[in-house]
Amino acid sequence: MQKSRDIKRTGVYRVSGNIGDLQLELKLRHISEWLPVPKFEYAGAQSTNAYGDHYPGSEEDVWHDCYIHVPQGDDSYGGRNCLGYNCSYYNVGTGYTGRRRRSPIAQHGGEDKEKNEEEITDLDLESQSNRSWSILSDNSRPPAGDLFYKRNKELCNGAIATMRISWQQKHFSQAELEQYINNPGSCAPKLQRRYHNWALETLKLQQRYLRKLENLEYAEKQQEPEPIKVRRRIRKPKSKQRGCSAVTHPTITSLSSANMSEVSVLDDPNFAARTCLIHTLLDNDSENLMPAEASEFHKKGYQLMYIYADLQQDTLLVSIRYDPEQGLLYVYPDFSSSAQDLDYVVQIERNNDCRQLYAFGFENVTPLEAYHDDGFSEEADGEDEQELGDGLPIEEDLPEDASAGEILEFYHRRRAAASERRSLLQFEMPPKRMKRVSLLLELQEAQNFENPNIHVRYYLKAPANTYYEGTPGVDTMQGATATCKNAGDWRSAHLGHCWQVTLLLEEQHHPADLLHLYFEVISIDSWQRERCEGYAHYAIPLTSALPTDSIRLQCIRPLGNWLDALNRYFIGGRQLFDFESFFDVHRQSEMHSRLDFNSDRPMTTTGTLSLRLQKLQQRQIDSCDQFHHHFHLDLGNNSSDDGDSNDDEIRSSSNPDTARATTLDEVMAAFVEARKRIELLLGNS
Amino acid sequence: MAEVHIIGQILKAVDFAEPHLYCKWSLQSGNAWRLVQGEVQGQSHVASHRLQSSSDFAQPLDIHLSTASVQGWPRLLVEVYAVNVLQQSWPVGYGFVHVPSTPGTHRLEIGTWKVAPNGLWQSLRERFGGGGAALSKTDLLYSGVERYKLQTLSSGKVIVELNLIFRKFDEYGVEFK
Repeated sequence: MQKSRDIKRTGVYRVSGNIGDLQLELKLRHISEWLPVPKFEYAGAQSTNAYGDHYPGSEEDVWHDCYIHVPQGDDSYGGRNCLGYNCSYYNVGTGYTGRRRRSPIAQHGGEDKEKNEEEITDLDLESQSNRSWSILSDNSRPPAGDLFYKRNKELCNGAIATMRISWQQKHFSQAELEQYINNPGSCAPKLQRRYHNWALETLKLQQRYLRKLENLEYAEKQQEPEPIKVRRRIRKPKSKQRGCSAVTHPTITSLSSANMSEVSVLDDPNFAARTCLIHTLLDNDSENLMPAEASEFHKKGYQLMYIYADLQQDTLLVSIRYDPEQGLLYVYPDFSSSAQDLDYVVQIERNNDCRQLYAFGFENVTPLEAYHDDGFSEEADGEDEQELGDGLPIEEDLPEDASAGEILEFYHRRRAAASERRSLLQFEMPPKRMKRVSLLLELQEAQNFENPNIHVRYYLKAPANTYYEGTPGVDTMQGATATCKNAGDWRSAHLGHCWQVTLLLEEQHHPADLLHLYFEVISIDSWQRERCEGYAHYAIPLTSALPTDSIRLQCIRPLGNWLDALNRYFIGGRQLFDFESFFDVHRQSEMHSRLDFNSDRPMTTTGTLSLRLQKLQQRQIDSCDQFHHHFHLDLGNNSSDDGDSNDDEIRSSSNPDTARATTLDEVMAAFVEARKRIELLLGNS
Repeated sequence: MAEVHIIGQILKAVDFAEPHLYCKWSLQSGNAWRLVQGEVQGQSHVASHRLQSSSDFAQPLDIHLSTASVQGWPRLLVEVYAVNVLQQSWPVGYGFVHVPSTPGTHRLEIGTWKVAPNGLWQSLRERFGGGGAALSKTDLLYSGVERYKLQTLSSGKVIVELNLIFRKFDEYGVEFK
């Protein structure tokens, strides 16, 4: 028996770009089928041999075990016309079982049991038997397998189904197609409506194809009914315009001896998409449809995708899972080096049906990114075969003596590549019911500090009901700038430190909750003595406007008594100073005052820090929210100069509108979820 | 996909101690940003001024970026190099600044710093031997590592004028306030 060509192993890849760029190309092909092992228990077998099946008598008795001749017209039992196992046979239990018209190939596959992938060459010897066989098959086409055959004519005729699948791209199966054909109604979620539209389009495609086929068949019926032996070759489509003459039909493969009406005559390389042969299961779909492991993976935070093929039974071809935290992609089975190789083999064996053998292969065709100079792909995968020239080329230079046409073409290509690059990603929206605030902070200068060699440490404290969103491994909530040596006295130290902080605000976040920024200026001299030079604090509300210029922050430091001053001069050392609670207005029992004679906590002013803040806000936006949006913009423009602005009262007037919109959204979302759940329950029961 | 157009110029460098300067600039942005058209890095000519201590570059910037996220907002990184009579060049200023987040005309002043010499020998080399130290890996500047161990000296300022045009951000609910 045939061993599977390639051992299935899981490929683990580290994703260095955007996972949304992942594209794979899948090719599936029907290789062969062969009879099931003959069963001995069906009644109706005309066995004249008293010993049962173990001692076959004549040559015909051998075959008596495998099938029953069903007389069709003037066909006779046994003899040359029995055609071996290529006839349809009758099984008591299930009636007629699947029998595809596969005469030349099946005979090939039967005779030599090696599975080869080369195109089947035509054999003139088959023609005669072929003719009578086809008459047989015409009348005795069984219903169950017939449906599969009719739907996947090209696949059964040996064509290769090609499909290009992107990450989390939904492809329908036939069952899902039928499910989504029904109009979900106007209050269905966007996803359902989109699926419905796709289903309609696919159905239209299928119907158009069927109509074309019918037209062709009808045209053929006008001519002589006997099968014509024609040599097929791939012809240009312009032959179609010459009317439907019998001889010149473009076809896919060179199945030359087959009856014309049996072979699908229309060249359709994308038949996989049309016939819903390959379908995917995504995170969006319900977990009940996914394999059992899916719920575990979802709990761990993985993103999953399963690719199935809708063959005689639904077969899982590829399972992909992506761990966004680690940036790892697990693909089982692993990518092949080329999809054309068709490395992986699927055997389908069902009761009382022929054993089918399919082979598939898939490869990674993520388009290359030309963002970096060396133009390497952002997906850390070794092989990146570009199948259809979709890859973006490295920027080419215009040759010096280019003609006008070449110049035009060159710029056309560049523009096409640029627009492709633009369309590769979806804009990241904040999660549902959350607002994203991105702060661009910049520490520009430090001035008037006592000692040189200063650096600034900053700490950010996010308010309640916010999440910090950032790249793993990089903490922007605290950090340090570089040390500046010539900073003492009147000189200003250019720090020039920029960083970006992104926060997600929940709905419960109150605008009065401020984001606190703490700065600590430290000096380290040549004897490695550390001294604190000052502390500063700044608080901003995350939802209102910020001052556009740089802010000058005054720094203060605790003085201590004369002993502390001596210590500081000779030894250095930083006292543990709880600046957070010092600056926290709510936690102080009394007011701070500069004129405080209390020697417990005297503070002195030191230098100033110059800080520049910019803010970007991103909300979930709906098209119906447009005028709310304008409303916001109008009010936001008149910003106050102080960062702690209190335009809460202005905001509150706009709040009811948006509040209404969000609660409506919530109601819709809850309704849709409930509907989905009920549908599932009803579907299962 | 939202788009950002950055059109402007690197005007001049002021207050540098060295007279003959040229400027290398580059635009750094996050993962989700793609370059549609334009150059993201370049180098200006050498300029000096006879009377004031400023160098006029007037280096044009024309960059078109497209983005899928607000993260990784682009930053302009400038490195100012000095050239001496022996045609040796060394960096005398590193600075970087966020591209402003509001559309319109902006005039930015980038304060720069240079790597400080470690001892007498290095400062002598800086003065007479062809220049001071340079950062071997400039991604130290914009990555998040602790930088306080890096000893620097304040240098001059680079003045940049930018006009920003933002496109399609309001479709994704982004507001610049």
